[in-house]
Amino acid sequence: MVKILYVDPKNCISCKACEIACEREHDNVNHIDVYIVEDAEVSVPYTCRHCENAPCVTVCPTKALYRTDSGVFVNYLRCIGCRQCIVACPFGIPKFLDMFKVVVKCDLCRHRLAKNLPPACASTCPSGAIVFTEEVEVTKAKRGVEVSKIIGAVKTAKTLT
Amino acid sequence: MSESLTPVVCPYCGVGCGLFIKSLNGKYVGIEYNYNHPVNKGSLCPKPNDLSFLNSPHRLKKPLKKTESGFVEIGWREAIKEVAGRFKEIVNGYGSNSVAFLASAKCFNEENYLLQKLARLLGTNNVDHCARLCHAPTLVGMGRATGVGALTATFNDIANSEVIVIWGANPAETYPIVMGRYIMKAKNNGAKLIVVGPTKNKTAWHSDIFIQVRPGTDIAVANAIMNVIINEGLYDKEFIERRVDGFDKLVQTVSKYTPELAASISGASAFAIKQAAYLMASSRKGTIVWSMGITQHIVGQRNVLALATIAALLGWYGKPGTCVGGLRGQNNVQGSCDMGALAEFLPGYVKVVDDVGRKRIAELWGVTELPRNVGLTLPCIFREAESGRVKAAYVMGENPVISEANSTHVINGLDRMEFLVVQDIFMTETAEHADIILPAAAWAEKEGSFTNSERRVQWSFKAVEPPGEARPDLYIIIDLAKELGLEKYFNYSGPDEVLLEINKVIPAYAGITPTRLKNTPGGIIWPCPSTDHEGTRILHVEKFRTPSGKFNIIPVEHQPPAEMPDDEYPLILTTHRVVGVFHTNTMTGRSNALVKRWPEAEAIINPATAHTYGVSDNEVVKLVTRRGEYLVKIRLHQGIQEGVISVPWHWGANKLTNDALDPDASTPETKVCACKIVKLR
Repeated sequence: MVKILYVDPKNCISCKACEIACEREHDNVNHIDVYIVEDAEVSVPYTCRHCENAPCVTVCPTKALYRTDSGVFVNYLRCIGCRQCIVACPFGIPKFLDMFKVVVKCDLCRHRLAKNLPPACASTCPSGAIVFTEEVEVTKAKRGVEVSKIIGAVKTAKTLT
Repeated sequence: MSESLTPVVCPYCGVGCGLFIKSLNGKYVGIEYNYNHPVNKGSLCPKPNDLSFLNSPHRLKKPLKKTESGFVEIGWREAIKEVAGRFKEIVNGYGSNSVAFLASAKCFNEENYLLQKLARLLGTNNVDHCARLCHAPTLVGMGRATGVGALTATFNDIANSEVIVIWGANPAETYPIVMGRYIMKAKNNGAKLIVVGPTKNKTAWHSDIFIQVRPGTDIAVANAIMNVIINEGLYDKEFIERRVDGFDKLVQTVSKYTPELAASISGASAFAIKQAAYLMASSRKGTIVWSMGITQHIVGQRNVLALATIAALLGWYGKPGTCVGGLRGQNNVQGSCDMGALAEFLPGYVKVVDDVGRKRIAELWGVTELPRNVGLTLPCIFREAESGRVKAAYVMGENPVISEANSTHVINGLDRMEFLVVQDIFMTETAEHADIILPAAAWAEKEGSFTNSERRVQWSFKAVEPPGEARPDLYIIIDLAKELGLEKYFNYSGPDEVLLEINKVIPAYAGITPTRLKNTPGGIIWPCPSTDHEGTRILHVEKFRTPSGKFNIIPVEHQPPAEMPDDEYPLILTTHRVVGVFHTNTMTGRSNALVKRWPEAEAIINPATAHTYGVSDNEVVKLVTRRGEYLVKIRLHQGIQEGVISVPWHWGANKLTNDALDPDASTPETKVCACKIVKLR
C-alpha cells in the first residue's frame, strides 16, 4: 500500500520542527509551513496534498510536474518557470525559486524514501501531527479510539441498568 | 574518511533525546533521526534539527588572554600555567573560600564530577551551577517530602496517566518531545489535561481545564484544590493511612483556603479550581509536573511542597502511570546535581555537613578531610564577588550574565574579581569579562555520559573533531589539577576511568559502568546499585526514601512575592521561553534556521493593558524595573492576564528581574517583579 503524508493540526504543538527539518533536507528551502493562529489556539502544518488528480500536473505544459503512485514531483530540468502550476494549485503550494527560476514543492523527501527513511517532517514531528503511513493505518487508529470510547459508554450503561 | 553516523544525546533540554550526527571527514554535515531511541523514537524539536553552530566561524579556537589591547591568543601551556598560578596565589593570599567554581549542566557527568572534586580538594565548597536558578527548590522540596529530589517515574508513566497536571510550565515550547510523544499520547488515549499558569500558552491550548493565576499565587490555588479534595472526601484514604505522615496538620492548614479565597488571591476562577480538584481526584493514576513557573519564586521550595502534597493526597506515587516532579531544563542538569556540583552537596547528595558521608568520600579520594561548611550558591558567589570577598572564579560552560536574575550585579561581581576564567565554546556575554578564556570542545566533539530528567544515564559518543585547539573540558580540568599539584588525585586517562570512580562514590550509579553504558542504547535509569541491576524506573514503590519511610507532608502558607506592583511600577513582569531558542542563546543563536525564525525578543501583553498604556502591536518600548531597563518589541496576546507582561529572557531581559532569594533553595524570584512601560516616542 502507498504511504501518505497525513497531517492532523489537532495534534500540532506549534514547534516548527518540520519546517527546519524540511529546510535542512532541501538546500535551505522549506516546503512545509506551520501557521500559528493564536486567537484560534490552533496551528496548521501546511504542505502539498499530493492530489490524485493534481491540477498542477494537468496544467504543466512541459510535464515538469508529474505524478507517480507515491506523489506529485517536479523535474527541475523540464520546468520553464511559467508559473501555471501556481495559478492552478488550490492550496497555494508551489513556490517559484528565484535563484534557479524553477518551481519547487514538497517531494516527500524522495532521497530519504530511496534509503527507506520516512520524510524528514514526519520523522521529526514530536506530536504525531505529521505522520507518513498507509491511509488504512490512520483510519484504523481513529476507529480504535472511538470504539474504546463506545465500549466505555456501554459499560457505564450496563452498570446503570 | 567518508560520511558516518554517530549516536549522540541532544545537547539542549533535559528530555535526553537520541539522534545521529552525520559527519564527513570529521566535520558536522547534518543529522539523522534515531528511530529506535526509547525516549524520542526519532522525533526531535526544532533545535537539534539545525546543529550548524558546531561549524560556526565564531567558535573559540585558541586560549585567549585579556590585555590592554583586547584579547590575544596564547598557547595552552601558558594558559594553564597562568590559571593555576593565579588560583594558587589567590588561595594562598585570601584562603580557599575566596575562589569559586561554576560547573555546567551542559557538560558530561565526568566533567562535572572532576570540577567539583577540584574545588573541594582546593578546600572550598564554592561550587555550584545553574540548577540553582531552576530546580534547586524541587531538589530541596521533593527531598524533604519524598527523600529524593528527582522525577519519581519516567516519561512513559506520564503517557500512561489518566490525569496530567502541568503547573508553571510550557512543555509545548520548552519540552516539545515530552509534550508531543507523551502528554499528547496520553490525551489521545483519553487522559485529561489541566494546565495552571499566568499565560494561556501553547501547552494550555491542549488543556481540558486551564487555571489562569497571577504570578506568585500558586500556593493559594494548590491549597484550595487540596481543600476541596479533603472536604469532599475525594482523597486516597488507604494511601494516606499507610504511606503518609502529617495529614492532620495539612487539614488544619488548608481548611481556610476555600476556592473563593484562592480566587481572590490569584485571580483564577473559583469554579475552575473546584472543577480541577474533582477532575484530579477522578483518577489514582496521575501526573503533576512543573517547571520554572513553580521554582523561580521566593516561595519556590514551598510551591514544590504544595504540589507534591496534592499528588500524595491522590496516591500518585510508586506505581505505573504516576509521575511527580520537575521537568529539568538542560540535558545534564540532573547529572550535574547527582555529581555534587552544588554548594551543599557532595556527589550522590551527601550533605557537606554530614560527617560520616563526607569522611567516606574523603577516604575514596585518598584525602583525610574535605571542607565541611556549605559553600556559596550561584547568586551568592556574585554577591560576594561584588563585595570583594570572592576574588577569583572558574566558569565552565555557563553564561550567568544572561541567565542570572538582576544581571547588572553579576557583571559588577565579575568585573570586581581579580581573576576570572571562562571555559566555553563561544565568546559569551560572560566570557567578555574574563581574564583568560579557554576554548572547549562542544558535546559532539567529545564523549561522556549525560543524565536526563527521568534519571536516565546515557553515553554520548564523539562524532566530530573540535575546531582549532579547542579541547574537551575533561582534559582541561585534569591539566589544571596537575598544574595545581593535585596530580595524584587526577590520574585519569579519559572519561571511562572517571565514571569508574563515580561508580564507587555514588551508590545510585554503582552499576552504571562505562562498558555497560556504551553497550546500552537508551541508557540505564538510576538508582542502579549493581552491574546486574536493570535500573529503577519508578521510585517509592514500597516506601519513600525519607527517614520514616513515609511521605512527609509539610503544609505551606501563601506568601506574596517579594516585589508587588505599586503606583510607580504598576505592572507585574514575568519571564518565559520560546521553542526555537535555548537558554542564553549561545548555541541556538548561531544556527541559521533557528535565528531566522526566532530572531528577537517579543514581550507579550494583553490588548487591554496595551490600550491602557497606549502601546500597540510591534511597538518597541522600554521596560523599566527597580534594577534596570530593557528595550523590547511588544506583541499583543489575548492569553495573558491584564496587568501582566511576559518577556522571554534569552536575549538579556534578566537585567530587569528580581534577585530576592528563596530562603530554602537560594533560587532567585525571576518569575515576578514590578515593572513599568516607557514609550520611546
